[in-house]
Amino acid sequence: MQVRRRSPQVTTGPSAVVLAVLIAVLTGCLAGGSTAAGTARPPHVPTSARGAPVTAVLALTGNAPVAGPGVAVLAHLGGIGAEVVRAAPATLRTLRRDARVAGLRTDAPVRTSTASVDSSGTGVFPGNGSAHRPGDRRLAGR
Amino acid sequence: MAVVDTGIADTPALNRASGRLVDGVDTSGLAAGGLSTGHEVDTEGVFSDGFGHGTFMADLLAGGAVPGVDTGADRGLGVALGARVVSVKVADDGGVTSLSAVLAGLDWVASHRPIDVVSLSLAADRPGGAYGADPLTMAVRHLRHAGVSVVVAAGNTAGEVADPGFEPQALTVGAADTTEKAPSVAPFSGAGVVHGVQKPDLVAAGVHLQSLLPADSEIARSYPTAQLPSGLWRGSGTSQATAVTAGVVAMYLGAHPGASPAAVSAAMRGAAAPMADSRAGAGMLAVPGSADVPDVDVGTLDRQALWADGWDAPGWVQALNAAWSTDVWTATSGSSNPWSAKSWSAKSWSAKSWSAEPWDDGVTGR
Repeated sequence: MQVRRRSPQVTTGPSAVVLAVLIAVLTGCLAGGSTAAGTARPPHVPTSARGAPVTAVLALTGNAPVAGPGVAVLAHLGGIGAEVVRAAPATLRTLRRDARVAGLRTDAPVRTSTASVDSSGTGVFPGNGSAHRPGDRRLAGR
Repeated sequence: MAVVDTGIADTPALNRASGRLVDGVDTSGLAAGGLSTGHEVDTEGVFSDGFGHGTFMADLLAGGAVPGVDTGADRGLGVALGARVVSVKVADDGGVTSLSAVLAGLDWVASHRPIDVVSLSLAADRPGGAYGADPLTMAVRHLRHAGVSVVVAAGNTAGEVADPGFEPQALTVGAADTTEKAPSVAPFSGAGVVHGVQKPDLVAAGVHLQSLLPADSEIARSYPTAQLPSGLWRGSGTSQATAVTAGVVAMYLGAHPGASPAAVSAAMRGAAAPMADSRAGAGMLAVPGSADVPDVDVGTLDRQALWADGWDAPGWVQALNAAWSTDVWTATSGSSNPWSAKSWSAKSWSAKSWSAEPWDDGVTGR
């Protein structure tokens, strides 16, 4: 049983290996397969190490860093209760059930919210477009 | 106030020499995998703008006079002429950014008060098919809790609201077309009801707004015909409307120092001119006047703003958790590398986001 494709930053101790073995056995049993030697299937890979690592962002329930076997913490963003980590998808799936994690999401593209740069004609200055007339309305009771 | 964008270049209207533009942080390296390769977040240097978007927004927000350009009597290019703008650069010169880079920028803001307004003209795809909490919306909540008003674009997809614009505690802004006598909601402006909360909160001018771009920026090079004879450039989107609104928020805070984000949101919504269009939220942005708020204490305003507290209702939280724990993992488990910065090039969003075509093919008649 080997843990494969481990990032150099990932910490894995003896307890992690034991845990990985347990997860692998449980996963194999739940899937109805066999982990016994001698089958034609390839050696079972611990769930926590399956798949190439991906970068994900965790939203934390508290402010303590979420570190653990198979999880490389790339940045702890304590001001906004988040953490950027890198781990195998299966490990992230396990993290999702961690009480310290409110939720998580793989890193994703973010784009600006401009619809277009317009190529001709006139335009408006922002103040001219905001129809500002101070005091001509009152708070509407929301 | 902080402009979380592609950086900000010096222009005649807003520049570092004036002291009104300062550099905060550059996290753009993270979008290209910097965290994985040991890149540091940069907090020293000039975080200029090779793409152009952030400069355009900053000048809309706080740009002063432009030599040779008549912006109207006693007016500048932007809204809040006395505001001090902090550049929080989260995208590189190709306009590339990522969730982690934006979050790192917001984290920097959280630890650098007295920044009290964030202008966020950015949008991520929703985390799955349903609206739900994610790290970006959680970051907005953290900032708001810390006393920072977060002004967010509704996004440019009609009929839906972008992430984090759908966050109830954000002041979400749609775009209005103010080029005609009667303002109307721009056809591209995002809108929707998210778990009972109407978004956007309001709309602001966001069609054909004039501002500045660095001459050598990606946008300027790609769309040279977008420059007007005056030297200014025109742009449309909820980004622009967000910058305008952030400027008004800065003005409001100048007059009401220490107002809570809830009070700010309530004041903005209360001052807005109602429009007969649900996509406009409370209506068209206006600067809250003396009659809009002074006879209502902040505590009352906080309660009035409790439309956002629907977020904390058990059902709401349950719905959010369900939304982001299912769909996200569908994507994650199916791919070992669902996204990399390389796949998100400037080219991929220039076609849709920056093309002049949507506006010059008859949508507005211009």
